[in-house]
Amino acid sequence: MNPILLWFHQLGSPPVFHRFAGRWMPWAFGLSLLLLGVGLWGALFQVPADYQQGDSYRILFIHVPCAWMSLFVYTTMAIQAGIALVWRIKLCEILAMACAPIGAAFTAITLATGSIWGRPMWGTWWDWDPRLTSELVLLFLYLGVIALDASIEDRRRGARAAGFLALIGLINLPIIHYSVEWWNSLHQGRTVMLLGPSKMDRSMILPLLATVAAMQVWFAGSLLSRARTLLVEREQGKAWTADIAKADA
Amino acid sequence: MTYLPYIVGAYAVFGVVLAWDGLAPLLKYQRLLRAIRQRAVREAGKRERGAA
Repeated sequence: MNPILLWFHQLGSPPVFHRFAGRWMPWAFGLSLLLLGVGLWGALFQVPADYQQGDSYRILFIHVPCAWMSLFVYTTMAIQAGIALVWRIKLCEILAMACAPIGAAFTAITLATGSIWGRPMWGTWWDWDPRLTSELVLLFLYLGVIALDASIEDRRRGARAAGFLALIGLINLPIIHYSVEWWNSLHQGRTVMLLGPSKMDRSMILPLLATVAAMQVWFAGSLLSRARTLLVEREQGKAWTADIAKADA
Repeated sequence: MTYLPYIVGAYAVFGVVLAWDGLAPLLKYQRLLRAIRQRAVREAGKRERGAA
């Protein structure tokens, strides 16, 4: 068998995944904090104030990465849920359910920081604008997935039902992404583009990219941490968890 | 106009939520391991009483 495929198969085993998560999680959190430090130092102390927004635009260095992550985490959750529904892979169910609180956290940060930025810039904390409303719907979708998973006693059935909801909610992602183009939105259009020229100055893009990378790596660390905890919770009657608990004492 | 309170508020929300996201699963993991150890001790005690 191909060594990479073999490694993936082995990773499906709970004790192997537990070891893998425990080994890489501290590195992911460490690297994320380092990148976050670099990015936030640049965002708060290095880049000049914006000519229109003044210093308030410094909020966008955390708002934008979290907004991107809220969509990225949802996509990851839906892919894992889809794999779990089709192939009944337990680890994928766990990974999908571990994504939900992380995505909810990113979405909550996006909404809160956007609201705080909007007060001085738009003159209001909230507006029922298409972008803001669809992002709020995303938060409700994450909370719905968490609640549905927790409400069914059989954990595997709960994860499958919640995974189904996650797949249905995928429809909201293009709505969030294109809302600023489809409707006359108060929210500004795309400023930074992966392909094509950005409307932001280069000096501002570098700290933004550092915080984006930090949030990506944070997500990896948090996903490993949450999946490891869910795995131990589900398998707490098994001998391998008893061995881990004994070794940890 | 100073934007400092808004910037501090936004970064505080970011820090608190991220700290919760990082710490909550670690604390739950430790609680789970403690519960597994306590269960093992209880079961060992039951076995000893049964053998006596």
